[in-house]
Amino acid sequence: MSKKVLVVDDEADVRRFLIAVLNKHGYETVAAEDGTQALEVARQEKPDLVILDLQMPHETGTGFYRKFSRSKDYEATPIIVVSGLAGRDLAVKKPVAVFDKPIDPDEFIAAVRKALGEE
Amino acid sequence: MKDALQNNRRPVATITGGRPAGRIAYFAGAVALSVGLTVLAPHIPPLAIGLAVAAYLSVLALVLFRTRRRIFTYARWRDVMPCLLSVQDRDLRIIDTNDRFRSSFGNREGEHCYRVYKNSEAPCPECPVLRTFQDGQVHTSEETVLDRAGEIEHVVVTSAPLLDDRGQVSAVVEMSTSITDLKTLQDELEQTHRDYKRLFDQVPCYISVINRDLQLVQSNALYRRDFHANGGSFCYEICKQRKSPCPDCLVRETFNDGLLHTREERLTTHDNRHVDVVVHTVPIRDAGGETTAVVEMFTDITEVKRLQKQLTLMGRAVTGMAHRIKNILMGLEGGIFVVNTGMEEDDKAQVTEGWEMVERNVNRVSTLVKDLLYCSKERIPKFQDGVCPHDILRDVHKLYSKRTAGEAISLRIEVNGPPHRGRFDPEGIHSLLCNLVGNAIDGCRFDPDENKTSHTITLRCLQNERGGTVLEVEDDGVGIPEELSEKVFEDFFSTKGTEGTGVGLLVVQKVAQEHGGNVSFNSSPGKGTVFRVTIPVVAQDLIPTH
Repeated sequence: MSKKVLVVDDEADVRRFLIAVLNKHGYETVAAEDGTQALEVARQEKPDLVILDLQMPHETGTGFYRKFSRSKDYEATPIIVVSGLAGRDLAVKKPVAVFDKPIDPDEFIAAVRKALGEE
Repeated sequence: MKDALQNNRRPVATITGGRPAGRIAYFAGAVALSVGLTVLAPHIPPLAIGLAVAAYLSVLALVLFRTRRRIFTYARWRDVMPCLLSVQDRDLRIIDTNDRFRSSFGNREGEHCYRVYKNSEAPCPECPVLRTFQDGQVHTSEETVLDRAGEIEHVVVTSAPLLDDRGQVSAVVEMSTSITDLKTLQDELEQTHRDYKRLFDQVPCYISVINRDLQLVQSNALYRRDFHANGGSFCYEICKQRKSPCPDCLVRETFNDGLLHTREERLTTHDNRHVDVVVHTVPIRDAGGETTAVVEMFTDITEVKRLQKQLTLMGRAVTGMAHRIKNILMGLEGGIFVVNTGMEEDDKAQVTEGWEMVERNVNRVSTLVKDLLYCSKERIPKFQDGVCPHDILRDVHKLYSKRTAGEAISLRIEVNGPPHRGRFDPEGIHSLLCNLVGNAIDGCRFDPDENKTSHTITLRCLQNERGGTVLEVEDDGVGIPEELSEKVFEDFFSTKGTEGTGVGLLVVQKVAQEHGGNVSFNSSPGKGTVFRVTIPVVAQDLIPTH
């Protein structure tokens, strides 16, 4: 069974790009456009990995991370940060990888594989 | 002339003591003595004659001595008087003077005083000497005289009567004391006062003097212009429109410790303008060192503050812009990736989807660049006559209807009356409407209210009763939170959105101003926002042709 990845970004085209890259490499994807929605989707879909943007309306990526990481269910779920923000390295405590926008698809997939322990 | 002069000398004799009656007595005495001696000589012994002559001569010598002493005493007093002294007759001719007078004006006896003092041909209008002649009283006045070197002297003149035997004023003595030094000091003081006043009024800051009760005592012109203060009003009423003293009043601190204090403050002028100032409070002390009042100086730093804020905002805007550009770039790369994947997999739907992503993001870049150009001063508006704002409204409606296709957002148009035409910059109005509609779309897209199943954006073009054009864009989206409503017109203010560029409202404002109009908005958080641009018809006539 393919691994499920949650893509959280408020920009539709960015979401579409990440999903396209992930789908191409055989991952199943679910998406959310803000932190609040992401928490909801995570609860329903139980993703294996979260790709997170930091700056979003309503609930920021940082806010989402705080709530997400506090929950026991997702303790082991790795997070990859994809953000254009300057402080992206510091916002999330233990991201497995941090990407500045725009991403390089090959590097991104390599990071995804590593995060999911597929190497 | 000579006789007249001799006659005029007569009153002086009254001072020296030689009365006419006295002279006749001396003369009669001498005649009586001579006749007596001639008649009685054979009958009186020579010793008696000698004694009689000796007695007469003694009396005469005594009288002469007394007279001499009086003359000497007058002359001595006259010359030691620390003033210019002259005696004048009814014609205002000078008949006697003292040393000091002569050293200032020379020997001018026999001349008219106005000739001597003022080089004038007629008596002064308020002559104290003439008044003394009239009423026999002492009179004082201030005069300006010219001494023989041509120097101006300011003097205080006192005139006093000299009476004859019958108590009539036979001459007037005039004493003039120089007050030139005093007058110079007084003039200098007045000049200093004027200079100080001018400085006080012309310095480019607000200056006021406040008493212990926090009442205004004095203020400069700028202060009075912007704060419309009356003496006695309280400073907190005048500058802050408050009903009670400010909790951290600097004037009170200076009254308490007698020291200088400084702080930044925000004041409100009489016409409700906010002025950012640096306040300095300085004590005014009396001779005993006690602080009696405090000078409060405000230096206007509104412009500095504005620039400071602008710089901060611009810094933030650059960061925001970089973020936005990164997202667009990622959208472009995403589009290319999707197109490539579609081609590899021979999936036409994917190719189309990817290509739309590319197109969309290229559009976003071009909008962003256009908005940035609007904000810079480079773009000169291109006004045209006979432009119909309804047409522009329809273009924008069409453009954004396409962009929101498939979303639960509907765009509609509302106009009142038939299409009207006027002088507009069509490209500017187009940008203005695009920005307002873009913001409205963001306001609908990011509306967290799940009870709203769809949103409506209304584009209005109305003509008001004065013929002006009113453009409105109303949405029923998220609304602007109250805490942000003050900031929406700040340059580069932006909440994150997909359509807005963050400089949108700046563009709206700039275009409106170029048309002589203005922008306003009403927003209810959670219910929606309406932006209104009013372009007066009068202003349109004044717009220059480029």
